[in-house]
Amino acid sequence: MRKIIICQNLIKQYKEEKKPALDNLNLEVPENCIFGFLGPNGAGKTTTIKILTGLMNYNSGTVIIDDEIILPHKTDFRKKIGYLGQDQRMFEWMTGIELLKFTARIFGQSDSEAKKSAEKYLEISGLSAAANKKIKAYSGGMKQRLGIAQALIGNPKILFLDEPTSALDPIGRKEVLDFIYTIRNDCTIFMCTHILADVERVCDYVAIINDGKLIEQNSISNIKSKYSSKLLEISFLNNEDIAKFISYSQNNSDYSINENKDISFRIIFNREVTDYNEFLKSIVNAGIKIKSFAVKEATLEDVFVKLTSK
Amino acid sequence: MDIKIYFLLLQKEIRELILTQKGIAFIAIFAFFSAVSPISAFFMPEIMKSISETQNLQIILPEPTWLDSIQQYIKNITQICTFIAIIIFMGFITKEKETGTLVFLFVKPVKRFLYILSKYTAITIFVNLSAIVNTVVVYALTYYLFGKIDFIAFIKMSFFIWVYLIIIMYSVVFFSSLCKSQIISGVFSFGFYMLFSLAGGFLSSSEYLPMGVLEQATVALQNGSINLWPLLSSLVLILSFVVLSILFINKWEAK
Repeated sequence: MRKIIICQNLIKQYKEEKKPALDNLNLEVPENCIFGFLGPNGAGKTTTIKILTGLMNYNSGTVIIDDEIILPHKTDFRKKIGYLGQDQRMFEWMTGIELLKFTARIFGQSDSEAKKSAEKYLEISGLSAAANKKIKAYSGGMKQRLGIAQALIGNPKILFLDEPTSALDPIGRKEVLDFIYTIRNDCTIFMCTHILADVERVCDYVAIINDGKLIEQNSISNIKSKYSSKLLEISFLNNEDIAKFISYSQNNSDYSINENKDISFRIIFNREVTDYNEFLKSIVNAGIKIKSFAVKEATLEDVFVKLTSK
Repeated sequence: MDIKIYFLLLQKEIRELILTQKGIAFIAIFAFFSAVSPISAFFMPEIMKSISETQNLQIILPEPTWLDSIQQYIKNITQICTFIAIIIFMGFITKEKETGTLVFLFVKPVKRFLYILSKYTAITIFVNLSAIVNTVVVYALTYYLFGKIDFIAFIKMSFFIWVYLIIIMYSVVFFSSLCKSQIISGVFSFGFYMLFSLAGGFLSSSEYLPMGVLEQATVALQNGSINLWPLLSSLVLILSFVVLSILFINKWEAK
């Protein structure tokens, strides 16, 4: 599959910080997919997206978008991209239709073409009824949908979305995710988020970064199958057993534990495991009483926690 | 294509200044203080007389002339009006940096220098509109109240006041392009304004510098011989503001 975004050994160092925000980041995004870009807060997601959109300079490395090397302040490649920033503010004194017409005209459309485009994208985003309302009167979900609509209006090859649902209530979040899902065939969507449920719901591929480095990149199904046989959910009789188990696990490098509820843990093994008997026996021999256990399929959250926990 | 985007951005700036009422407030405040100038000059002797009567004092003021009206106008424009104008426009670009609307534009195929040029053009349009309104208001009221006014001297003086306003407002746009926050931009703009207003008094070379334009406004009013050096240095300063703004905005990175 053709790669539409390629980052090679990308380094970004902020003047005021000792550690680089991006540390030799390598990334390849296949064309025509929804690509989830995951990482904990401060991992370098927003820095990456700002470099990819030409809003930020980088110290070294190469960024290629649709076969074109990206340098800051080049404007031509921006005809190929759309962008909605984290908590993106637009010109709130404009109406929805005015904003979309203004955006379309920036992309070189005539007045009549811009009007048609604006009406089309208002309809796609479900905002036709609010077309003549001032943006400041829009709800959070409406603003995000308008933000995506303005990012789509130049028919971009790549749509960059930085935390598109993080500031929304559940209804707004659903509206935006549904909208993203409906436009999946029109362009490549690069979505930066830390909401794993959103990624599982709409993304085809994910990349996980931490401390500015790529940790894992694959299709969601491959990532989950890679870790699925290595997850055991185990619960204990009481708090004493939990304390014993935590103490027992401290010196063990075979697995990592992810606390699930009060008395149960999700255990992800670092090696291929087909038989858990040996592991369970060793716990029982250590005097820890098990209440129940089950082999589970790893969720993206399990993988994320495992890969990003230090 | 570039010229179309420039006009599109300019149109956006003008609409924004009208719809957010900043541009309207700018013109209205200048017009108000322009109108107050001849009126206060005309009624000042009577005001002083009534004050002196209540205080048992005797203050004798000479009969006011049209020159007093214009001097009052210069004072109002270069003090209170400039002060308010700086407050109105100190976030002209910094606010767009703070709220993220600058990112909205710069992630699109918009060349940054066009954005800066549209900002300076928009401010020039509003300064020009304001200057026209002020000139008409002051001329009409002065003529009505004082019965005469030297039209040529008044127009020459208005030109120097226009240059002064352009310098101050361009400095506000410049600092707004340079700074990250509105407050810092405002502090720098006030600093420049204070320096510009006071430097004439202690700089021996001020007759060559942009701050000389205010002195030339008074010279023009009295039909004196005009020194062009302040105009030339003002032109250099104005162009420097624009060029430096473009350089700074080209280096700006979204955080």
